[in-house]
Amino acid sequence: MNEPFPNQPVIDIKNVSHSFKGHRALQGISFQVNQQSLHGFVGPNGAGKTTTLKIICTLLRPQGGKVEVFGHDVTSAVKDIRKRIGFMPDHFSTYRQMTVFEYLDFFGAAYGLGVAQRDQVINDVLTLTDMDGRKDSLISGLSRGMQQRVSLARVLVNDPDLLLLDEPASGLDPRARIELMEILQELKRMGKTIFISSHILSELAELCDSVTIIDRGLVKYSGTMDGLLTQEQEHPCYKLTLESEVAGLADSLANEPGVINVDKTDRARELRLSFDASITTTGNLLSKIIELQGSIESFQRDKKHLNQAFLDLTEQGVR
Amino acid sequence: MFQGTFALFNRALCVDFRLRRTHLFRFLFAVIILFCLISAQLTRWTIGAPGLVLFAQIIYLNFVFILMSSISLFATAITEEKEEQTIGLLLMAGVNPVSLLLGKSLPRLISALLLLSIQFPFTLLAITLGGVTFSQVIAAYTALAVFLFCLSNLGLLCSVVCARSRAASTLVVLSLLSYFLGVPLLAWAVDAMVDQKWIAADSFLVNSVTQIYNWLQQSSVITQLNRILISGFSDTPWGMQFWSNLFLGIVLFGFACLFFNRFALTDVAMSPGRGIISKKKSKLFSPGRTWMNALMWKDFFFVNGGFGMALIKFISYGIALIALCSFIGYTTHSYSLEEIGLTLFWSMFIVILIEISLIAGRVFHVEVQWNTLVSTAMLPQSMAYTAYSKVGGCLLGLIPAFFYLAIGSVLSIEEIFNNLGTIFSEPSFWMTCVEVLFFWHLTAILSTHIKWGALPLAFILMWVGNMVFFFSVSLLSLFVKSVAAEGLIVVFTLAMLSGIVISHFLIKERLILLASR
Repeated sequence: MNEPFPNQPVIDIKNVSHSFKGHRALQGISFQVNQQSLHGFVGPNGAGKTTTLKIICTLLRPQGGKVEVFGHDVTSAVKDIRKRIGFMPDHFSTYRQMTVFEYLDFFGAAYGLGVAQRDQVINDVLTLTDMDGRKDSLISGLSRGMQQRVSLARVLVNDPDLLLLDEPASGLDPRARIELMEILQELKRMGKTIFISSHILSELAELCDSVTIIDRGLVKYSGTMDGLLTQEQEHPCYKLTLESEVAGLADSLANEPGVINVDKTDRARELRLSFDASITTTGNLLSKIIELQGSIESFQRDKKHLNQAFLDLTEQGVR
Repeated sequence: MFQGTFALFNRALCVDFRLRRTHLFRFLFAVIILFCLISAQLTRWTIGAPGLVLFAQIIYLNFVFILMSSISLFATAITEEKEEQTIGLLLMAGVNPVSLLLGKSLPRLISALLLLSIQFPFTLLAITLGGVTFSQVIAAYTALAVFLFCLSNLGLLCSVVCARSRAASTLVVLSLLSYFLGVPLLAWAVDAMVDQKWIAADSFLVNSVTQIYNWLQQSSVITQLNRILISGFSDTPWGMQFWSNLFLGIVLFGFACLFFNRFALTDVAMSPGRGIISKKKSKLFSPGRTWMNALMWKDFFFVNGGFGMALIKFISYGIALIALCSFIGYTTHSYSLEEIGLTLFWSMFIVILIEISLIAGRVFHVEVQWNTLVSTAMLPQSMAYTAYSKVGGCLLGLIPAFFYLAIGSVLSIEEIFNNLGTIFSEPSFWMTCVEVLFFWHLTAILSTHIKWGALPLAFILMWVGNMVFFFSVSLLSLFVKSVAAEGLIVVFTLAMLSGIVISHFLIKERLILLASR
């Protein structure tokens, strides 16, 4: 890995705009991505996510504004930037007639790695993506999830500092999705900066440190995930699941100081409660539930509100 | 029953109307006819029967247009649906195979027939200019229309049988080559064998080949057009060519219907195949480790078949050349080593021209077709480097042909050197070289813009360009005595050279744009 740049954002986007045939895909967006972070880039279809990603990875020149990656301008230091990034597009862009090994070997050589170095790197990335046994498989014969792993392995061949992933989980089954997210977490632990786009906020909620929400070419929010929830949820909402139903628990909790609302869900053992964080805490509430003989199965922040935050920020309608 | 046909027909016409390139193509066609008209008008004082000259130009222009349509337009009628994987959906929507075939082929046939019919009034002007009768015009358009019908069904059949547009186009080309060249070559070979007294002149084989050859001659549109273009033609247009082409067209359509269920519903691979490249460790047929120029390696092996394909070419060309030289040797009785060298040289020269033309049509198209440009474009190197590396990898596939060309050159080195001085001093030689280079560049550019048919389209454009150029030269030399043809050739050559240089930038920009999409 290359040397980090202390106190400098890995991606710095300032007032960037871009149009296609009169359609303003980006209307002066600005945000930053810090190093060694996992940054989510969320927006509905047609929001401008792919355009932004293509500008960051030097495939498109911005028509207005400035984009810096590792402190280099994307319009002038194309080669320097490309050496340090890995871009995975939203469609399969693999040479499917090749075997997994041939494909990775090709990209290794294209990045100027020697034969011995390539062998080492290919083994490493195959282990990381759990593809050891598929080295000699034809890419065209692999499942969608496996092909996505091959794409990810390809992106890692040149040991990039920054990974740009455009909707990597789209079209994957739940297992493949979970496995992909695990690989991304592992990469983050290895010190990579990961910029990942998606149109599903809840998918990234568990994974990302920071998030940028974009809609119709405008940045609606950019900051930490917690900041998004704090900003959008004046009163945090939690889902409580009990091992068995406790009569009167909902009413008792509703009378607690600071609790704003307690709703029963369709399941008898489940409650959804929101509270004023300035008056009470989750700790107080959990103590009260235990005091009321409630046997807690789970107590977690309600994702529905995360989605609600996304809906509140973005405008309605499919583009 | 034919609701599906009408729906497909309607959609095809709407799409055709919306596409800018179809209007541009028609406009280009009109401009060429207008150009022919102007040249005929201007040369009426110097050339006898200028109407016949104009008429012949237009008729042969149409003939080439029909040939190219069959390769590109008609051969993709069904394959484009296969590639989009929409045939199953159309059948599920209640469109039966016959309706589907009619709905896909009729709009293309009618568009082409309309293009023929629109010219008809302009062609009548040839009568006014003199040398052509009305019956000749009618006969020529009838011959072309029925030939078009026949070829549209040949294209349709190939489109049904083949999985991809490229394969269908290749099959049409092979069918046309065997129709126009195969049987005449066979007849020539049989004649030569009779001359050598290898077979009796009245044997069954000779009689059969002669019979087929005569029948094909009579049914050939070229023979018919040549007859029509002779002054004083007054035969009926409903001759052997008309009925045979019509019958063949109907038979081909019948075969297309018959084979539809057998071939049209097979799955089309959504990824390119490996061809003869093996996954197993094999020195010849496996790609081995990637070279330091990875793109060159990739295109040499995965676009051109690698060392295995080179060996196959090496053996095939060798066998073909030995057969050709043996045949010429036996038939001419005096075949010197130098002549063998010249045969090798010119045969391989033609093979190289064809191979490079095919490479020009494929080298960038494969990346566009399979959506792989974005990964390639992300490599830390310029798009120009990427493009030249790809071309380099493809050109390595020419080594077998160059090997035989080199042998031919060595054997006939004296003859070649004797002629070099004369050839190099001819401006037309340089113009031809530059023109061929320009043709390859044009093919490469077109292949990044259109889904199929870049090579035939480039061929048409070059043919039209040449026609316009030679007419311009003829006209200028007639009216402006001070203008030397050599001067115009130099200007034309320089213009094409500039075009070649510009095309490098255009291809680069186009690839960057496609990678960013």
